[in-house]
Amino acid sequence: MSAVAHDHDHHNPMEPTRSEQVKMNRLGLWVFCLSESFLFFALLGTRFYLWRNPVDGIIRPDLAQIPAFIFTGVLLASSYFMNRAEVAISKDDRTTFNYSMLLTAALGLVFLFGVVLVEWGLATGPELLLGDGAFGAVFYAMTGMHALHVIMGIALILIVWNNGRKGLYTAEDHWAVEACAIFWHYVDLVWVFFYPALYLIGTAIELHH
Amino acid sequence: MSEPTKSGSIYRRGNTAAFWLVVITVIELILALTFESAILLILLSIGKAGIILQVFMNISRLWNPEEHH
Repeated sequence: MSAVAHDHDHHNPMEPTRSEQVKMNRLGLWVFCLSESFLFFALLGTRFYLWRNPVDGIIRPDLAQIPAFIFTGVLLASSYFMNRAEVAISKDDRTTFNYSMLLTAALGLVFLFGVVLVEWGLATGPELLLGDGAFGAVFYAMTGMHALHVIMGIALILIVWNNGRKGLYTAEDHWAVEACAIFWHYVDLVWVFFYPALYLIGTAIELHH
Repeated sequence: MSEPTKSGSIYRRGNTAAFWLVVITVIELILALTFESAILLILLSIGKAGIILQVFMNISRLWNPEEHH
């Protein structure tokens, strides 16, 4: 007998059913995402408050565009595979689920190392230093906070992938996969606003080291 | 026969969303390098966020929990 059928057969009216539980879990996760948004909005607000001057208006540091564009594409691709994994498990397509989850984690890692090694310049020499006043402080705060969420997301994806490999999720009952997908897409959503704020919006100002 | 077709259309929905996200990102880059319009870039970001919220995060499941893939 499946867990879902068992839930219906011996349902205690004082306890929520599985679907009611998932509904509450889903609401809780969205409230969590909303509360996280205040932090990210604060960082965005800091960026637009500090990165401006009386002559040019909104400004930004003159950073390399192509790597940031490529890593943004990589993060978008990871979201695509996460969506594919969620659809696959809802259809009991375990092969697609497994490889899509692994691809999502791999692309997340590429993005993370792209930010840390290329954007933070650990590999090629820093393009923008932490000590570069408001530019450095805001850039490292925003990318660092986002990178922390990427690390958490990758860990979550690997846990859910491993559980899925063991057959813990079914087409009817896969809340953990949905939760993992919502969190990962949320990380992508934050970058959708961070990428233009850091690299595209405003007049580019040359940094002199 | 209808189930694989439905499944295929759901995969297609994700493909279409990903395609538009990439297209908008390319437009963003071109706009930033040519026009430097902050308002347009913010509007494009909001458009991308809408696609992610609706197609990938399925925000409508909050008020329509029966909605499946």
